[in-house]
Formats: sequence, C-alpha cells, structure tokens
Amino acid sequence: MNESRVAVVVLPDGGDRALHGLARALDDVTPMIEMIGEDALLLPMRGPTRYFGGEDGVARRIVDAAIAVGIDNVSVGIGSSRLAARLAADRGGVCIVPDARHHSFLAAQSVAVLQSHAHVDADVVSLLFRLGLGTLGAVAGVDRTMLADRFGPEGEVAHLLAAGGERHPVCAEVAATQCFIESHHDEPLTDTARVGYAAGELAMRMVSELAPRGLVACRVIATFTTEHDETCSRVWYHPHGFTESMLGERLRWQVEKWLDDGLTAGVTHATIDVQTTEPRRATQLGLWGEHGEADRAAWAAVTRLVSLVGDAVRVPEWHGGRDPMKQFALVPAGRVDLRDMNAARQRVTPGEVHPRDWTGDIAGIVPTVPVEPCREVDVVDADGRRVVVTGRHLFSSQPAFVVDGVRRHDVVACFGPWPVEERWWDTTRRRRVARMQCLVDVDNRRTAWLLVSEHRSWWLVGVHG
Amino acid sequence: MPSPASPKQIPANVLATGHVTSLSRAVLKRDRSVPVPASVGHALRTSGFARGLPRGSVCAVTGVAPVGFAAVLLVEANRAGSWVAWCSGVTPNVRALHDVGWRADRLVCINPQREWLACMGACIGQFELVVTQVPSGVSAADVRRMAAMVARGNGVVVLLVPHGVSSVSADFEFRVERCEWPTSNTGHLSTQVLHVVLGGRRIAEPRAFEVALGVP
Repeated sequence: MNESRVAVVVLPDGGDRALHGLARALDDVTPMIEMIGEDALLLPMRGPTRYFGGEDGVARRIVDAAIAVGIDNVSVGIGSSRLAARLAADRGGVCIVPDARHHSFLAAQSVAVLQSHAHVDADVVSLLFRLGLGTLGAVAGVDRTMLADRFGPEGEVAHLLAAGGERHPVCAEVAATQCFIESHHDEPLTDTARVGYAAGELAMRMVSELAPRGLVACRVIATFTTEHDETCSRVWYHPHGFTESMLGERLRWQVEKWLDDGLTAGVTHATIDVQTTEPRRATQLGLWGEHGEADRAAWAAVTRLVSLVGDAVRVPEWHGGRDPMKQFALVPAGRVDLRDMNAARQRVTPGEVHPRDWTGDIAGIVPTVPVEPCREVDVVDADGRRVVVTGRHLFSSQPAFVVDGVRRHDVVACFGPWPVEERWWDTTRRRRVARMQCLVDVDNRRTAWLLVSEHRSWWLVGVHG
Repeated sequence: MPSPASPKQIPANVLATGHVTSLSRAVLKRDRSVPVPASVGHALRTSGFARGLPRGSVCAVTGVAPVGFAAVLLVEANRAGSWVAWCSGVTPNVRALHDVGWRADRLVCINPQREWLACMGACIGQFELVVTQVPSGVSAADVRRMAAMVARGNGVVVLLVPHGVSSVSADFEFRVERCEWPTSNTGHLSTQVLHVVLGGRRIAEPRAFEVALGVP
C-alpha cells in the first residue's frame, strides 16, 4: 500500500465546536490526526486501512463517527497526497481517488487549486495561468528546474504538488523530535484565559527556540495534561510553518474547547513536540533594523491580548467597495502574521489586493465613528412628511428634521442624495441605496451624520464624533 | 520611531554604594516625546512642551468630537512608526484614520469587553500609544492606578471622554469645544474644523487652537 495515502475530512458548514467534536470522535479511528485548517482534518490511512478492512471501511467509519456527534454533512476525500485528498473531499460525500488514478486526477485540476488549497503564492499561480499553464498536468509537464529557475522555491513546490508529490510527508506515528518545549505549572491552571496565556507563551518559546537555527515548525504535537492525568493531544500542520500568533491561536483553541468539555482538575503540564520543520524564509531587514524594539513589544502584547479576549483583538484589512464604513474591515489579529511587514502593508494598502477606486464612493471626509448596528431614523420635512429619495435621485422634499427614536434634531444642512446601485445584474443580490450627509444640532452642538436610504427607510450609519 | 527602553535592574551592590540611585539607557531628548501635528505642537510649545507629548503622560480628549481629534493628535506619531492600540468598545472607522494619514498596519483594535483592566495592563508599556475609553463600571481608583502605570512607562495613553460624561484628571486635556463645517463647492462635507482648548494638570494656562480634518 502507498504509505502516503491520506483521508481529508471537511466540514462544509465549518464551526470550531463541531471540528473539535469530530476530532475527538475520530481519535478512536486513528491517532495522529492532523488539524489542517479551520474546517478540515487529515487522517493518515496506513494503520486504519488495515484495521477497518480497506479505505471504504475507514470512510464509512469516519462518516459514522461524524453522524454520532451530530454532523451529517461531512465530506471525506481519500487520495495519495494532501492536495488530492482535499480536492476529492471538495466533491462532497465520500470520494476515493485510487492510487492508480492519482496523477490523472490531479492533472485535470485547475492550477488555481495550488493557491486555494496548497498555500502557493498567488502571484506565482497567476503567472502560471498567464503563461498558459492552466492545469496541474501542464505544470507537471514543465521541467522542474525551469520552474525553479523562474519562480524560485515556490515554483519548485508548485511542480512538486502538481506532479502528485508532498511538501512534507504524512506521518502515521510520532517521529524523532526536532525541538521540545514544555512548561510545568505548580498551581494548576483552571481559568481559560490563564491556560490560553500559557499556550501563547509556549508558542512564543518554540518560535524563539527555532528562529536562531533558521527554522520554522510546520508540524507540531501539542499536549496538555491536567493534575488528574487527563490529556489532550493534537497535531497541527501548516505548510509554510507557524508563526507565534498562528500557533498561539491554535493552541488556545485546543485548550479552550478541551476545557469546555469539563475537566476534573486544572492543567499542570504542557508540551510542544516539533515534528517537521522547514527553513525559515529569508527576511530582508531594513538598514537600521526594520523590526525594532517597539515592533517586538507590540507583537508580544498582541499575543497576550489574544489570550485575554481572543478574536476581539483585530487589525484592519482593506476590502474596498462603495461603503466608506466598510472599506476597511477588522479581522482577528490571530489569523494574520503581524511580523511579515510586507504582508501587513499589502493588507492595508488600497489597490494591493482589492481595487483602490470605486465609483459611488464619498468624495469628502467620512465619519470617524461607525454606528454598529446601524440605527433606523426618520427624515422629515418642515411639514412633518417623510422625505424619500425619488426615482430621479432627488429628495421628495427638503429634509428639516431627523427623528432618532423619540428625539427630533434640526437639520442645518444636508448634502446628497448620492445613489449607489450595486450588482444590478443580479436579481437576488442587487442593492439600491442613496446616501446623505447632514449637519444636525444635537444637544446644542453641531455634528455631522451619514445617513443611508434603502427600501424607503433611513439608517444612521456613521457619526463624525 | 525608536522608543527608549525601560530602566535596567540595578545590582544591589551598586546601589549600596550610595553614589548611584538610578540608571537608565541614554535617550535622546527628541525621543522623550511623541510627535504631534504642527497646530497641536504650537499649543504645547507655548506651554513649555517643545517637542510634543511627553512619554508617560495621560491625555484626555473631551467634548464634541473626541475620536476625530484623537485621529489628528496621533497621526504624526503613528506615521513615524508608533504602534497604536485602540482599546475601546467604540472602534474607529479605519477609512477615516487612513484619510487623515494613519498607517493602518500599525493599528490594533481591541474590544476589551469586561476585561478592560487586564487589556490595558497588556497594552501599557508595550504599545507606544494607547487610545481607550473608560467603561462605566471601572472605579476612579482603577483609573488612577492605570495612570500610575502609564507614568512609569514610555507610552502615551489617550482617554476618549464622550460628550456629557464628566472628565477625568489627566496630564493634558484637549477639550473640543465646537466643530465647524465650512461649505465647499463639491457638494460634500470636505472639512471639519475643530476648536480645541488645551488644559490639564501640566498646563499652567489653557490655550485655544484649531485643527482641521480633511481638505482645508
């Protein structure tokens, strides 16, 4: 049997609670289950195939285990590489790609899957497309050294994966450790925040240990043990290697879900066993040291804050669009790599990932404080009639007051309306709104509001506060 | 922007000699303050703070548009590379900060929920600039303790005090008295002029000045 056969289990609806429950249920099928994403698990097939009488038997067992924990729409893909298994799982239900058809199955896939499923650089994938290499078969047909010359290590990885290879071999058993980090706690940790903080510290120590050796950990086994010898062990994998925040977030998730199950004692021992490493990607520091003391202090603080309030620690990301209140979204800090300065700059620079300019954007200054959730208000004229925006994009009458609940504010001046028609070609998702800026007197002080009219109702979406 | 390090621990035998009472890394005078825009800088200069906001100080921003003024107050420091922790239930519109000139890659927004004190403890001393709004349940003693932590560190904490809420004692208080909205021919609100009065514990005499958001 091919030693690299793996099963990837995908939860179409995601949900970290469900993923934790499924992982716990599958611990009975095989050890060394890898957590490979927010919605996916990987099982090495070497052991369970023999035990459960073939791959069909294992797939059945996985589906049964999922149903037993209340997940009835799980997808299972079995293949000879992580990528093949993941692509098979994406077809839904149970899909087994026999070893004999492994290469032909991959060859027919679009090269875009390298980006979406294998973390290959988006620029490399885009250029492969433009060079006419639209399928994995076409990429695999190119000489490996040519791709390596043109694209560097990313090209080599793209060729390897397209040809059915594996970036890091799947391990069905514990391999020799490359780095071992542990922490003992004399006073058992029972509070989720404290255990999460301890997990973040472990991740920080692991990264500090490997960094001087020029390595990053791609596959780690994290184990937490309570005073009563209850144990929770998970294998975590990321093809590019874990940064401190990435691993810290995963470990916190692991212990939080475990603690939610209800334990009889506090955590006294935690370990990280690094199984697979990769050379750290070279980072060109600035002439005077781009990563200064302030950067390191901020990163350490973010790690600590994430352990305190989790996803409530967020960083901006440019999303674009026509809504000035939503052009920058706030994404959880634990899910991005703050240390990668180039990626951080790209994340917030308009035009780098999403387009910079959008027709229908507000030309002047935008509100400094979003109203979340936006509040329904009434705009009325001097006679008390509701003001609406007509089909010709004009006010039905001059706005004189904004009624916010029981309070009525004088409108000193108003600007607009500015119509925005979004996705007019799509009957189900199209949206037609009109915006208005107005100066209002609130408690004897003048302020500016941004109002949006949709379906003949007005909503307060932002305040110049 | 380089930030001075915390004072190192002094060995007991050195202290015992009686000749040395404290040691710290030499810090350039310009690095003992965080830079501020010219209009704010002028008001601070006339009050004896020539280089901007001194590190280790607490600033309160009160009045009608505290978030807008905080955006202006911290833009120079953020642009120079300082990290900002925005630790408040009210998050800013990052597009507005970006338009003012902020580097959004050095902004971290934290919704502290019920962990405001713990979050502030994690931020102070680590982030050079912290913007926060004291939640209603926090006692005045806790706020004083936080201010003492700030005084020992190298950062600046900006307290946003919404209109109508009683102010807190701070080293510097920027009170936004009123806003003006000069009309423009573009049909949009293009400028917001803030009329601010600088006061606080470390200011002998209140100073009034104006700052503008948007295209003047």
